[in-house]
Amino acid sequence: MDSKSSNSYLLFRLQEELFAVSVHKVLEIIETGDEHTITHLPKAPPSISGVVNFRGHVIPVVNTRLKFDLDDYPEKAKFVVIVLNLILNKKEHIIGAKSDKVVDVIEITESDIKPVPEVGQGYNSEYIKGVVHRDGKFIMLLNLEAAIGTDEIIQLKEEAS
Amino acid sequence: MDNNNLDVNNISQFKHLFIEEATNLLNSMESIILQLEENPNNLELIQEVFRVMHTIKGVSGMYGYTAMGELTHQAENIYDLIRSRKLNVDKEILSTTLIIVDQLFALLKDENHNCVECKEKQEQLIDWCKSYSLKATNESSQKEIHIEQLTDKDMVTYNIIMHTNQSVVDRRINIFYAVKDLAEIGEIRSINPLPVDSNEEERWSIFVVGNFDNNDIEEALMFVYEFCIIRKVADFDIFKDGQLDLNQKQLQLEEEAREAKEAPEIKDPIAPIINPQQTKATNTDTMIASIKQNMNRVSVESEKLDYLMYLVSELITTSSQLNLSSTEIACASIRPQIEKLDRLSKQFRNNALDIRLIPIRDIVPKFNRLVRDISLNLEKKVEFVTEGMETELDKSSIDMIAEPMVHMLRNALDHGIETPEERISKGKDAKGKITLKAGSSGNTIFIKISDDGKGFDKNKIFKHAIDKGFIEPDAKLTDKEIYNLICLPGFSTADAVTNISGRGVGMDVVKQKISKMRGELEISSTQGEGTTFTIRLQQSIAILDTLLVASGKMKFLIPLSDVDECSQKYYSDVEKRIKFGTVDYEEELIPFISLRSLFELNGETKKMAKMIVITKNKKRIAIFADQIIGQHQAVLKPMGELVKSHKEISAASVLGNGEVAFLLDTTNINQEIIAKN
Repeated sequence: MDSKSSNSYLLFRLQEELFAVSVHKVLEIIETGDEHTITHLPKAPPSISGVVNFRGHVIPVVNTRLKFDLDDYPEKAKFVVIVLNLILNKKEHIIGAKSDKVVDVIEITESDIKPVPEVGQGYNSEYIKGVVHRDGKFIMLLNLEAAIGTDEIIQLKEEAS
Repeated sequence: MDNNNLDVNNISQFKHLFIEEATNLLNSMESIILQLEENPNNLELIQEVFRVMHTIKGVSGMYGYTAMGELTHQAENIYDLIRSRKLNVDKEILSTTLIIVDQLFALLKDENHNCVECKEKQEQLIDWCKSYSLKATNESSQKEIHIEQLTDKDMVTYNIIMHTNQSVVDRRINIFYAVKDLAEIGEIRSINPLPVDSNEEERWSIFVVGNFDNNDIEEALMFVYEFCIIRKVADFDIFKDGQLDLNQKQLQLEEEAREAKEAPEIKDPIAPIINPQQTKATNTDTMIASIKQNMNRVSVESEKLDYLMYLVSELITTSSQLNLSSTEIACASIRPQIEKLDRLSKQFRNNALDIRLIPIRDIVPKFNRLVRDISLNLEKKVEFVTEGMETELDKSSIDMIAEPMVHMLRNALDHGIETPEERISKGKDAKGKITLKAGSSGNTIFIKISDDGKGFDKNKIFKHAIDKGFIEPDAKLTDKEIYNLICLPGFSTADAVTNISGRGVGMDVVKQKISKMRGELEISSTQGEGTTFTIRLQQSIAILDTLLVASGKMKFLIPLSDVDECSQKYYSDVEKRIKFGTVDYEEELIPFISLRSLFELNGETKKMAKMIVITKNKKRIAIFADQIIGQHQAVLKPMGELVKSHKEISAASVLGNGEVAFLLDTTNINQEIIAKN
């Protein structure tokens, strides 16, 4: 890709950390994120909060905080669900990801993306593609397929067998 | 989730329609041939076969299916001889026609002629046709010359340039019908594609020869008339005796056609356009008949129906959300409208569901064929009787049920029905009978497949099950339980029940497929008299009447048709019984599950537990929940991978307030806990 070309990213917050995902992968943001819209699915892996109705499909919702080794949401905490369309093993998967708050949509130029620093991470760093420094803050660019996709899908499949 | 399936660049829309239509025609062929087998002298049926072959021949060339064209041409010749009484219908012809139909199906799939087997078969079939028609023509050659001379006089040749574009597709006009109608008035001698400017249009040059006039042509082309340039080429058959250099003529015509394209209002310089008023007056009746014939059934891609269902279910959910919230805010002024919307959307949903229903009849020809082929193969005589084939099932159910039904029919033929000798020695009619019966009661559909064959040997099955270690030697089983043993994976009926070679198709697969559709399978059999398999299904698997219950914070759905009774018990009593796994109900101990303990649910415990007694596969079990909320007509949502990991949950449904409720898989729960006890 051209190093000067820029792409739109959705910026969201988990506790004090900022994360970004490409807007092309975002289908919708479900705003009314109190515990009521997410239905707990019994016997599901802990990183899956439950399921939610999205345009007629019942889709799994990933607890992103647990995924990134952050503290779980306290009870009755507010959050939003970012609905993502991920391609895993050439198949489309629609998955929801919990997030504390959607902050902004920003343009990021390829050349702005810096490699992940090796130390001092409070989260699973293999899920991070790169880091962008902006306005005195660090933004983590997510490798969504690695972060959300495979793990859950594999877990679910294993349970099925 | 996008419903954009009109991809013009990928595959030609018209070609797509051709494949669809040809498949329909070939499907109809099978049933016609089977009818012809019963009434070999029925001229109407013979005509029908001829027409189908003729039509496919005509259109297959348009899309490069030349092999199909060749074969149908040969088949058409045979049926031409038959309809002019130069050949008589016999078993060989009919059997070969069925093989030809199979081959045509294969060719339809194997567009690029990659299949070597196909090629060999093609040659064989063409040789057979040629030799057969040659034999017949030799016998009556004199007569034929006479006929030809007579008819040749009245022959005319027409050329039609058909220019179709996207608007044809948009308006759901099937040019296939036009060609079919053309083939009825004369013989299509050639169909060739002409160069076009874009992917979205197609141009064809069609030569038709026969004894007809302008009126006939216009009638045949009435739906596509505006896309056609019709011209009379000659008052004789130009394809005869090489009177013309065809290629040259073709080129010349194309040139003229191109000019005509520039000025489309001058449609035909030779034969002026018939006054539309006049056409209308003379052909009203045929037109109406033709419209009716073509228009009273619409074929729609099932994806579009799925999308419609999705929209409907979203509408229902939104409507009940609105319904719910409007009572809370007490906005009385718009209540009537909201209630009307609620009613209308429910009617809309029922209507949409109705559209998806397909009569079982649509798949019966395939079964006829299957029974015929297998019985011939096994040298058994079988009469196949169908009843109640107008019974309707959801499209997706029909798709799913076809496979288990084929398995069961195969089994009935292979293992059920005896050979004619065996049957006579047992004092039965030499001809066996297999009955396929369908019907409905309420929302439940039953499909019965019965044979009057040898029936199951209970002792043999029992012994085999012990040998395989499925049951203990001292197990006490009812007849039904014994028959159900054959549905266990790895229980090969071929070895146990009969000694007939051939594969015993796994009944476990059958059972699995039926359970997947939330259906039930019941087997009954009398040794020496026959076996009956009964499948019970819900008419639609996308929608279900359920009982909505709650435990902890979760909501669950139980299929209403399974529920016998609801009552209540103290939770403390229930907890005491957990280690035994049974509770007393009507002076009987029945197995139970508690949703709380099954799904490890927390939250404040209630004093009373609601007991829901359900019957599945004729076994009673009890389900304990905190609360019974009421009836809920559930629009079931696919949950994909998520659901596969659950034995107890088979689908989900969105409630009025946006919450998701899970449908309990009663069949599985039932089996699990009965196995545990």
